[in-house]
Amino acid sequence: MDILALLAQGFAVALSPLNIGLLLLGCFFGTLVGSLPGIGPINGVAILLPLAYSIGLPAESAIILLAGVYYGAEYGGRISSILLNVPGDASAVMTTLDGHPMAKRGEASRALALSAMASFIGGTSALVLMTIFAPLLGRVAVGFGPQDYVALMVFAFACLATLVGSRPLKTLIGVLIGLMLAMVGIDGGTGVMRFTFGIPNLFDGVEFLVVVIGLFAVSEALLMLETWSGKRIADVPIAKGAVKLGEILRYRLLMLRAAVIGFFIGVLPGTGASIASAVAYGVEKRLAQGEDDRFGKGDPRGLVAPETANNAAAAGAMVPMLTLGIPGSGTTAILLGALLLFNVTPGPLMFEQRPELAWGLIASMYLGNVALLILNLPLVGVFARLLSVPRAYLVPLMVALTFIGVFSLYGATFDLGMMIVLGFFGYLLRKMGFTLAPVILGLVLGALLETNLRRALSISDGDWSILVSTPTGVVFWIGAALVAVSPFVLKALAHRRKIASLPVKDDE
Amino acid sequence: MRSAWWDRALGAVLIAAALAFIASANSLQVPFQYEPLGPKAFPILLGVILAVCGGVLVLRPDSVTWFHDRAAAWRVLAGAVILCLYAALFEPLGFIASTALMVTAMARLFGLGVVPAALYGVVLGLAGYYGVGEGMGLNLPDGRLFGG
Repeated sequence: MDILALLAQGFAVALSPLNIGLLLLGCFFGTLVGSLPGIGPINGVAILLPLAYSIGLPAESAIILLAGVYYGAEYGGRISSILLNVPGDASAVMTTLDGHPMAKRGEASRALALSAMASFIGGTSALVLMTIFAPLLGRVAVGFGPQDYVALMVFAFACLATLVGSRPLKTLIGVLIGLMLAMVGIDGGTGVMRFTFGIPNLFDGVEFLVVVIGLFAVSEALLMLETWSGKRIADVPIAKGAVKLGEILRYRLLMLRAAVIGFFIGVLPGTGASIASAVAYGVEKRLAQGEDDRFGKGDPRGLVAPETANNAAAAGAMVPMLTLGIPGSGTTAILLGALLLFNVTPGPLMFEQRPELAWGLIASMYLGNVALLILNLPLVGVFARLLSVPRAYLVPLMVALTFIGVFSLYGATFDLGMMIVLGFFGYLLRKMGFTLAPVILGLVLGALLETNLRRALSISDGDWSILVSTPTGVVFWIGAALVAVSPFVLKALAHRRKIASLPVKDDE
Repeated sequence: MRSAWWDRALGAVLIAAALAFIASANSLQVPFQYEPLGPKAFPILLGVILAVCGGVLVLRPDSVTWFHDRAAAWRVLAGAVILCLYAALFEPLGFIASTALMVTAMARLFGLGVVPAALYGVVLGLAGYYGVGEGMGLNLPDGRLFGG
């Protein structure tokens, strides 16, 4: 009952006129950037963050706005996946598999409505799980010592390296680049300047927003220039049509399974919506024995499962960010960075010290899911029409917004230059097969990791064995080791199986 | 243009950067220190790991495909130049003029005609300055050339 009282308090915060307005704005903008191919949630949040910061919103309002963009984009990602077979971001890839065949069969409106319902149910069930588990996890985490945090962060990086991106080595390099960027500036412990090259703009460290916008938005603009083909995207006609309640009820167990899978995968550090949707899709395909050949040809189950899971994962990924201060994905890393900008340190204490913020955010996510469902069912035609907005209009607008955002922080041309250099760097890395989310995760966690390591070693007076002195810490170290070797084990197993049962149809 | 040398080159650059990072950390003058680790150890640890990763990348590179056609490469290069000029002119020309120029040039790259591109540029410049800048109270440059 305690939780319900706190949640009620949260609704009181979320229902204030300003916050409701920002929530609707965030959801709308999120669906918009999610549906525009290539922009995706990370860019949406990154572009809005400096604006939200500069106009002086209170912390809880700003985070409600940004979170709205974040999960709104998960709703929007399905539109271009279904209609154009172009996923807005990685987590929407699985949606294309059955969503687009349905659209080609002339069932676009049914697919869109069904996936909107799936998104709503996935998001809302994950929120219920979050309401139950987040305070519990927070209570456990209060007992974590600095050595446990070190182990937890290493575990997070291990998960990230093995599960995200094309190659673990490149993900690890990305994390290291982020961690090293985090070292720039005055060292909190001793007041020594590190890696500033004597540039005053760097004394306070590398500006988080500049890095995020440079790496993501600027490199995205260059990538859009490269991949532009000059062909106009054809309008996809959407016939009127709705989903019957019976059809949704038929998938209730499937949605429930996918939501639980999505939530818990989302909670794991380093794994996010893209893995959750792939796993949920795989599970449903396996469960549909005898009919699994229909998957990939427009089976509604293959659309509902990943859509439910990726929205559930988006909510799940908020849990470690809020309760431990350790984000599980690139976008939640940016949200964490946003909270830090507002002098709010997420972690176990936030639920006690800033309940209006923690519970206000959770309550606003319930409202946001309802708003998104209402917004998406009738307005889907509007969003679909936006898909054919030419890049000639889109990219210049995006560039102007990034410049406005970065310049309005300090009015410094230096920041603009730094943003562009980082943008070129990000473009190079992306071309060479790197994913950029690990860089942001490293940047956000760098100071925290170093501080905790130094704190742990000052407790033990320089004895490194303190890192494995607690059961919690040992569990995380073992977890990290298991995750790190798992790809090699799996590869060996797959290799053996392939030899045992040739010929095998490679369906993944 | 498909080659493994891009990864090799990046690996080499990373090793060099890691060594420079280590050297820079090692040369820090720490006047006082209350804890055993200090500000040097963690950066040095990161530098060592990055150098090892760079080494692995040199030894076991992936093959990277750079551009599929020449036009794409030129577009990216032109886009990069536009971004640099936009940043350089942002304060001297002010937001409205520099944005109008950037938008016009960028929209031209995406195949928009001269007149619509210029029109779009002026509209975005004015809308950004008066709508986002003045409207939301953000700090945008007026431009030194126009007596701002």
